[in-house]
Amino acid sequence: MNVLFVHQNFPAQFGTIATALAGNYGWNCTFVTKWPGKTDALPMVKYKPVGGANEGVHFLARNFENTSRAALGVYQALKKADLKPKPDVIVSHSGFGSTLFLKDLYECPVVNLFEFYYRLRSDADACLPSASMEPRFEQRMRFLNACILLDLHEAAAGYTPTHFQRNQFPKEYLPKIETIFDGVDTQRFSRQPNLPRVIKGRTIPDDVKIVTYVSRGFESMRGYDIFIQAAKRIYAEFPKVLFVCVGSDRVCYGGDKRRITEKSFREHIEKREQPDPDKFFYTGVVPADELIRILSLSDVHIYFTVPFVLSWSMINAMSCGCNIVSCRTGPVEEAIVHNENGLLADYYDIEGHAQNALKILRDGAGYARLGANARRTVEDKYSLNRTLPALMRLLGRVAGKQVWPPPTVSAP
Amino acid sequence: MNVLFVSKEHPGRFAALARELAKSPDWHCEFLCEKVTDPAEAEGVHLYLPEKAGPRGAHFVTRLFDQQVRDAEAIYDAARSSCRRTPDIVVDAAGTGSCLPLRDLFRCPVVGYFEYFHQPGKAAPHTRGRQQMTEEELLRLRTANAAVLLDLVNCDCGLTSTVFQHSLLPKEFSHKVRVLFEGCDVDTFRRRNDVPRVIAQKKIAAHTRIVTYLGSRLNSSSGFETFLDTAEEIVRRYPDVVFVVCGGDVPAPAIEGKPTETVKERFLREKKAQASKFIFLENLRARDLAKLLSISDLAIHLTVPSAPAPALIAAMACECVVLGSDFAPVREFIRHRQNGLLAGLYSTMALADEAVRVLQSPGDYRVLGARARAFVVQHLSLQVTVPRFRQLLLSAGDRLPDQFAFEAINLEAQEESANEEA
Repeated sequence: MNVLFVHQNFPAQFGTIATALAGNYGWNCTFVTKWPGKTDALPMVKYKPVGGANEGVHFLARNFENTSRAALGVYQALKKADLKPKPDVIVSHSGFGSTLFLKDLYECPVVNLFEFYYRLRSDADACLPSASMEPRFEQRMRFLNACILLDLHEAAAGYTPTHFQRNQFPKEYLPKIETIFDGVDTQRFSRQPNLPRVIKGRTIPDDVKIVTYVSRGFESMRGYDIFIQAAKRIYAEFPKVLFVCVGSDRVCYGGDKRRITEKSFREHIEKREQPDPDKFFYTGVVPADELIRILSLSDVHIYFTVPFVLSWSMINAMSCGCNIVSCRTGPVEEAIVHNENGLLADYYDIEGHAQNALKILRDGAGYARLGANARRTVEDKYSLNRTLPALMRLLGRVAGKQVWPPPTVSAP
Repeated sequence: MNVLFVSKEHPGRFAALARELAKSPDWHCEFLCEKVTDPAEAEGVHLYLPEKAGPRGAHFVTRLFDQQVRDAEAIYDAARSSCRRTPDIVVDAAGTGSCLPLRDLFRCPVVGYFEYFHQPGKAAPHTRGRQQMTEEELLRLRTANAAVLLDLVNCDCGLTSTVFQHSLLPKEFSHKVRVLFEGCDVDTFRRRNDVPRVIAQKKIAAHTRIVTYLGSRLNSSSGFETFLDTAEEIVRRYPDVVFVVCGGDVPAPAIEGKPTETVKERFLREKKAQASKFIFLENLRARDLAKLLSISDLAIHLTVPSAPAPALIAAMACECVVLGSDFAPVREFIRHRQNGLLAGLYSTMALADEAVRVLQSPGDYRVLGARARAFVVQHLSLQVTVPRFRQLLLSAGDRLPDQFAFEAINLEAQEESANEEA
């Protein structure tokens, strides 16, 4: 089977999958990307978007312009590369590497990963009361789905990582979309016992509990403001605690920066909440192996999100057997059942989140079952062993080829 | 019931229908449009003035979307400042994402009109006639449906004029879109016997045959190139003829930033000798079009597989002998040798054969015109379509005032009993 993966980043969502398909099954996988990174695991074709939206493009059309120009870049790079053999199926991330023009190059079907369909006044907005949008941004939301709809129309099939994400799409297209999670390598993301209590060179005393918070960007979409407020309540009642925050001081999703005067949302929240800096340790972005070590030391892992794309970090933390404290929003409730594999409170229930974390901090042994159950949940639903065969079946079906994925798969 | 129609031009596809709807008490129709072609019909019409996209902005393949967004913004601004009544329903005849922002302004249902859904890789060769499409033009077809898809998702229900147009839409939305021809005003469009044979101040001799070309636009997709070739062949065989061309000239898409020559401009440059046999008319008012059709011996309507121009139905209502291109959308209205004539679009000789036969003995073909009118009166007249539209507008969405919902139920019941009687 010849599979062409299209994504602006590598490895991102497809890197592990493509490597596993090539390494374990001998599938001929090629990756088309803007940022190939440093790998020789797969044949790579690098593309460059054909320019970008400038001032001459209407504000509401700029997203469409940029996505289309990226898609043109993908088309031109592949036309030049003249792949042989031609792909039997193309797998692409709608939005981060559109296959819009590839039907003029190849006759094979396209399977798209659809992350999100934007809805005005959605549940996500309801979680962000301070996020009243300027009219022009509201209007932009209406046009953000243009490229996604073209991809939905042209794709033979699609998939989303969670049912929550799937349910955002127009009902007319739901029969085309399956729910297949990206897949966690559960062998790699597992709790490492007896690690030294050292994070990025900082030794953490045995009597200090570690609460982890992981987010690519410290932003309101991922409840950074809720986290800081809950943390203040937690350390007020349980002083022997350190909050280890992994991620970067930037805004990846949402429009936080349009609503604040400070340089970053973290700065904005710290100015407002005045948390005790001694209780927090910001590691910056860390490599996956370092993240696994941090999660292995975690006593409580806090994860918040508005109803939006579920972060890998939560499933990774579950895979590492962390005790999760999180919020009752659609994507989270899909993976976590309160008091079974995590503790949940309503999104804005600061006191509830704090009390949930305190329960675990005070009685770690009593709540250890949460982490164990979380690990089991990942093994059952989110591990690569489960998701890769499902994706292989989907690709085989649309390509009209019989594939026989074995019941278990491991990343090479 | 306040209905807001949004369209590019006025009077356009829905003008006659709106006029008819507004005859009912409590029904009020307003229009938002970019251009008014008949000042006599400007009552209740508000203009929107979109900013025009410059050549240095969007890429060639996305320029259409950039302009559609500008249109949408202008429609939003005009609706906010001009509409006298808050609409209970919006009918979006522009069909290009133009009413998306109106959702933020009016919390009312939107009915979308879907004229054409591009078929990249399938119908592409038709859109530029005999000239080979460039790679960029082919790629552009891949983005051309973006705004239509946004409208399909966002509208409460949709409309097409023909089964053919409906068949082009993604199957996922078939259930949401109804085939409902907007209706022809058969009182305006009827054959008049006392029309002087003067066109654009040019007197046409009684023995000279008049052939009228009906196209929304004078471009390849309206078969204009084929018509010009056919006209040349007709003149060769039957020289005593004049061609009246109705339709707006359209600039061809600029290539690499340079404007290209229109089909009409090229014809006038290359065929100067023939030009004297042609009269070009733009923006004809309905009554003037009816007069022209009344003295036409033959009306030619050629289209690639796309939406037939409303003028085709107008010609049929005026008892014209119509020669159409033998494509599915035209066949929905014309049966060969029953109420009109059909020939292959790309077969100039076959088209000329049919045309010359009519011109040689028009009296023998008059029966086709009479049957065409009967077909329109029976199936496509406003008397037939207005009750259906009224019902559709009353039942679209779920936020209508109760008294109108009640009226919709009554209309449905009436239609059911009429069907049972039939």
